[in-house]
Amino acid sequence: MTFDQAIVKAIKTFLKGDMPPKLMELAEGNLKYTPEYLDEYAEKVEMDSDIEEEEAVDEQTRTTI
Amino acid sequence: MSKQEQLYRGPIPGENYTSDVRNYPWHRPPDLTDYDEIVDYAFNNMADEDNIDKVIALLGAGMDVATLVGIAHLQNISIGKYSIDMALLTAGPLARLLQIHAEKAGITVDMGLENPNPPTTKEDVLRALGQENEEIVEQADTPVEELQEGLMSRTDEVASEEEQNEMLGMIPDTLEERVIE
Repeated sequence: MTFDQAIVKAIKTFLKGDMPPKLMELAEGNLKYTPEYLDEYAEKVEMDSDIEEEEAVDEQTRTTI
Repeated sequence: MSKQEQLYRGPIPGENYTSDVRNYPWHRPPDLTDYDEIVDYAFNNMADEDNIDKVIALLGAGMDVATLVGIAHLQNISIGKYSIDMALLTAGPLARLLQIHAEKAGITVDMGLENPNPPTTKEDVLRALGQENEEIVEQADTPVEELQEGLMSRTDEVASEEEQNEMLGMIPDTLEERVIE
């Protein structure tokens, strides 16, 4: 297995929602970048971008008025 | 230079043990060993002012996320920031972070997880040969019978009970013993 193939496999495993069990044991569950955290982060980023878009539209309407 | 000359220009076996390997950053203890720190470092390094435009341009041009993560990790390993093992452990979160931010920037990213060129199989080759070679396909599909040759090869014949007992030393094989019986 090449490095690139290992990277692809690691990404696939992470996106499935699996975390390395020994790493979790070592960190005693104190890891920040878990699949759950990143899913929440993605939602937050999406919401923020929606709010930014709304604000931009509001500003445009104000300037046109 | 001929091929034979090239063959003899390679390093001699054990030559690696004669060089001072401490000169290479990836042979020294890595700077970062914490999972979260590594993800932070790798992502911030890619998303800083100097690099973010390049990253977005590459993703926009169709480069997949897995390749980009591999390049970033190799670069950081080569300067001794973290180990190869930690690079593999942090590849997932780094790829996900890139995906989130690229999508926020309006880029539809290819994660690069499906192999576009799967290895060629026997069926692919036979299919490529065409329909006129259906016989070859049939021949290839029929299982080949295992050849049974030699003293140690497995046979279907089961030895008789007497023969089995003899092999286990259960029956007298000397003439005297048979006479006594």
